[in-house]
Amino acid sequence: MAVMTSTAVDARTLPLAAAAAGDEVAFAQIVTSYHEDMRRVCVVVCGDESIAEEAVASAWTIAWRKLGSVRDPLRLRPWLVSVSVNEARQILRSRRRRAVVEVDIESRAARPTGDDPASGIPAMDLRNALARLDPADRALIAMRYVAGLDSDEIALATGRSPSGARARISRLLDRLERELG
Amino acid sequence: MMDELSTFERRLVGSLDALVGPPRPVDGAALARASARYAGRRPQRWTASVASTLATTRHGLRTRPVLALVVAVAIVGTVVVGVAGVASLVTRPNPPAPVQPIVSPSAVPSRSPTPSASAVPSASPTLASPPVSAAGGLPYVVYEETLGQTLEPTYVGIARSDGSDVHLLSEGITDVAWSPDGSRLLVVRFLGTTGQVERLYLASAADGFVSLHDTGFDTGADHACPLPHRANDVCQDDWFSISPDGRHVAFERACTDVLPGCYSIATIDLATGRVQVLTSTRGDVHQPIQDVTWSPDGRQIVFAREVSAATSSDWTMFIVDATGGNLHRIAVGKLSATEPAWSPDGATIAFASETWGGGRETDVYAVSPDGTGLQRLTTDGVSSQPEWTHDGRIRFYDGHRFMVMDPNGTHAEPAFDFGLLATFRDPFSKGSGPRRIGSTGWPSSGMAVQPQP
Repeated sequence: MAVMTSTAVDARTLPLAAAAAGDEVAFAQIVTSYHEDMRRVCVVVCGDESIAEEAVASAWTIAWRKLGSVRDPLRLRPWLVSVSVNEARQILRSRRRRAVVEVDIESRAARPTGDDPASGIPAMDLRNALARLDPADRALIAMRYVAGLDSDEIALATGRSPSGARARISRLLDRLERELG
Repeated sequence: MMDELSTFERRLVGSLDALVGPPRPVDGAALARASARYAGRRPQRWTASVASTLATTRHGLRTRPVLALVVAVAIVGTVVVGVAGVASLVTRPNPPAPVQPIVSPSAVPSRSPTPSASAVPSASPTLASPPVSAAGGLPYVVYEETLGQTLEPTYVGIARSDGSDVHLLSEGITDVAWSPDGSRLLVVRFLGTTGQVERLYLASAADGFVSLHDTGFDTGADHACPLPHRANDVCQDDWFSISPDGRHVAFERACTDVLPGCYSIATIDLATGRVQVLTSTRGDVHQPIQDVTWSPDGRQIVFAREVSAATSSDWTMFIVDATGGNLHRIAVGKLSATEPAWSPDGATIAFASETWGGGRETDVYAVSPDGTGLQRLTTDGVSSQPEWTHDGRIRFYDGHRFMVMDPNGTHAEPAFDFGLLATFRDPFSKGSGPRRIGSTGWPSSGMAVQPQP
């Protein structure tokens, strides 16, 4: 199994230069190609759909202004993801913290077992495990397992080395497996 | 594409997919609205063109049928109850219809940063400072329900902690704040359906928080920055707090669309609409203000400010007079301090301190307003959100439930049981069957509990 994401988009075919020059149709094509990767990563980072939406909207505003700083199309997706993650973390810090009481309706359908990846880990346990991680670590997990970024792309997005990114993700994976496996 | 994954990685990928929901086509119009909201409410030139382009070319990501099935199963599987100060309610696909009346003033200005006195229902008998004991019984809880493994909220409701007196508050709510005595509830909701303008409403214990009274005051939409050097910029308002006498609301005003930005503490007189900026900061980095709280005598306001953007947890508490001036910092050593709560006798401020080690850890502390007598009250690393009860004890959230303890940190015990709320038959819920209480640790959503009667 592999993570299916917009990696199917060949970044080299995207009209990066035109978008950076202010071509709104070209920019729309980039938005379409990467918006969902950014949104879904941000949902994991901040645990809130609306904050994720805000973060990505803010990231696109930044991208519109600064797209010209990205010369290599292969760096575009990591850059966009990193901008949206930074915005999500910024918004997250400014939001009110409230208590949550979760009510779980017992249901066979909600408590699947087995190795079917579509059934997987109980949502409550996964949420709690993610919430115990630092937002930067949640971002690493999301970049790898939600957006499907490879080590080189994660390195570009986080400022780590590729080997450093792999090592950190490996440790995070071990921790999550101990808690959830 | 990624390399082949281990068994646990496959489970993790599937579970994360279910949590965040499947990829979906980009909604250009929603993107334009969200962008305009976040970027100082000023429409972004590019979003209109992008939205138009998306609509005409029907760009969109591929969706996976298997994920749709997972989400459909999840919707009958899990219910999360909480409240979030969020905006996504406005864009949810099928919002429930509000069931309570909204009482509008006779002459509400359509986009008025400073409403006239006639626009404010100050003489409304339902807002005439009813004592919280008039509500009596169990505390009210403002909550938001989110269905399924995804995090999309469905509605905001209010009920007592045993599930009685339940009703929908409204659609389009972005935040709520209780008055210190629990007699009033400030509701921030969008005006109309455009998602562009937020307005303040008040609900009262006198009618069980059924009616929303329009204050006529719009929040940050299109407000000009109060500082001379930023007069052409727009601001957003947040972190609303009702004064003890119910006559004023303090809030944060953020002007951060373009850095250097500024953050201000301001108050509005609900009778006149007069806004007074008490103190402002200006800087090249984001240094937000949060947790705006009044002193019990209404003469001072305590708030938390991020003092360094280099870390995610470097916050400090400040006090400023409610009339402006006398700004000073509460010294708590190297602790990061947020969520200040002033004791009813004014002698102590409880607060939460957050640290990041292997993960987030929070504990409750107390200090006098002059910075002396610092005490650590909890040591479990999961406690936060201190609030004072009327009998001088401290209520807090331990990550799973609400607890209450003596002001020196002893005799901690459950504050109240949400078991009944968890099992009450919510008429608006799409779920059914037996439920159990759990917890999540995300900081941005949850429930707002009325200060204890």
